[in-house]
Amino acid sequence: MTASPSLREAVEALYWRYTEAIDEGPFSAWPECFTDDGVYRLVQRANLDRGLPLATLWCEGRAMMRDRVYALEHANVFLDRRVRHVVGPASIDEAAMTARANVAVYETVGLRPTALVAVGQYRDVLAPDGTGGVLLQERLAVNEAELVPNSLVFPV
Amino acid sequence: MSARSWPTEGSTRVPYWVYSDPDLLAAEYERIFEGPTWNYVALAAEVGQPGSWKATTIGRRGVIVTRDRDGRLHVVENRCAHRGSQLCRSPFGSSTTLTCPYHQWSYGLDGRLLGVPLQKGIDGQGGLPEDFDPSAHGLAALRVTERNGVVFAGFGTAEEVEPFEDYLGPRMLHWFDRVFDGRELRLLGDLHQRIPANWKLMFENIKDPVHASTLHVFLVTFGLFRADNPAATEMDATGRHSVLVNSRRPVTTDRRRLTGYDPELRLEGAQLLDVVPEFPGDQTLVMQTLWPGLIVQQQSNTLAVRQIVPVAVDAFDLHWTFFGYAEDDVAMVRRRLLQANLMGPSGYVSLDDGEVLDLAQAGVSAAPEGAAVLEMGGDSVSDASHAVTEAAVRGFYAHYRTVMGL
Repeated sequence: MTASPSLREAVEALYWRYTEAIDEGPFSAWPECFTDDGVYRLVQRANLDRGLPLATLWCEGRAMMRDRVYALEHANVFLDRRVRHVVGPASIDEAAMTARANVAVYETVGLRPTALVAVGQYRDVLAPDGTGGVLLQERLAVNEAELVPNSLVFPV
Repeated sequence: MSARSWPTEGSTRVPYWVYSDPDLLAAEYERIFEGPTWNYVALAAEVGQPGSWKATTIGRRGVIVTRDRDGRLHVVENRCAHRGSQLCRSPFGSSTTLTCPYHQWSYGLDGRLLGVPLQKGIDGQGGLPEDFDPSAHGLAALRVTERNGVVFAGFGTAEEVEPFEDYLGPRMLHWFDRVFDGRELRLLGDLHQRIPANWKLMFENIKDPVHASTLHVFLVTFGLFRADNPAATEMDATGRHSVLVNSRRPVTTDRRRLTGYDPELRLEGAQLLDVVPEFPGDQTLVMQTLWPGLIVQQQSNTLAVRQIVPVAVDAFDLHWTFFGYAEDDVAMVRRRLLQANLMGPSGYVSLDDGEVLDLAQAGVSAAPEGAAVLEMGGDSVSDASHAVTEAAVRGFYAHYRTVMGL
């Protein structure tokens, strides 16, 4: 799908900010990739295909996203790990203001072999941010790795 | 395994070799999962339509749950009677027969062998012998029972195991029926994890009320499970099944500070904990473990079954099925889905459990000569009206030792 160079640049910049917030930090920048009422859902592909509504992770609005950030930084207990999102080129529909991109997430826990922890696709609804860029109105992260290697700590 | 003996202290100890001995796991498959037990296989709603089937696992054995065209449920082994291939190439399906892709042996949904291509040979040559008896070559059928929309199955004959109601006993049946009360269930979705730990550590975790207050900051801070809430730890007569019960109370400033309490943890998104009481009594959390491999979760309004499938001495698969009721209104479905954020591999609560189980297995597997010290609540294996006891874990191992001859 073709999109104007300015929209393509804006989407690339947004996608980079998103993964950098999670992979490099600060994690508190993750909710700021969304509109204030933006929605993030991480769903398993099998549930999506079966028409079942369960999300592995569901944040409705930046407030719930900030709660998730706080819990992961201060409440939850998990082995230290590094995650790395690898995101493919986006397919953008400018008229609909939607975009999709493939994504894989690798996780390294200490000296254990690095593992693929999620793979699938982002299905996004975009909103202009008022300064020429875009934010996520909705991000549906579809994960096709059905058998999670223990935990999915960080958002995909 | 014959060299293994339980520590002389008895019920207050669990020797670490139970978590790492491969011969023991082989014996567990035979004596427990393939023995006189009722094993969760499905919610009836997963195979609601005639012709539908679900492929799942009991212990190490693949099985298929089917609903035939007359609406009856069957559970058969997922293994062709010909040369042992598994038949199902997907986890769910709908068909009038079960057909092995290799040589097309075709079975009814009840496991009866219906047909074998080329049985008569070609032009008088080859084929199966005249006296081949199809009725002796069906898919092995398991005994099946369903209670209020939950399907269990097991190997061996019906005479070798109690009826389900007796298998649970009256106390456990009371808690089971509180959630599975006969109302039609509604599927919300599945999650799956492979947790790198011995399967018994998962069971112990759900029989251990103490860790809820010490590990789960989220539970303590929001009062969802606290040692100073009204609580109970109950078992059946054998000790193999149990429930942990907690009744949420407001967390006011004068309440005792527990180790896990975080005064800074506040939810901006309050909709996460918009909880509505929906069951009899004031218990807001009921976690039930049913021997050998089922957890029934009622945490506020998030309901799920979790099926434990041991994969290796140091790994098990945990299959979650979240559900509600067909009569739930839109607001209740939303509540359940929001509160599911507490559960599963990303859960605000359950994420911690998978991670500590990883650490637990890493510790115990390297030291088979060691033993766990279970003295919270003394050496009692009786019910308690509090949450500061390890009685349910001791009770579990008392039964385990009987079954395993340890």
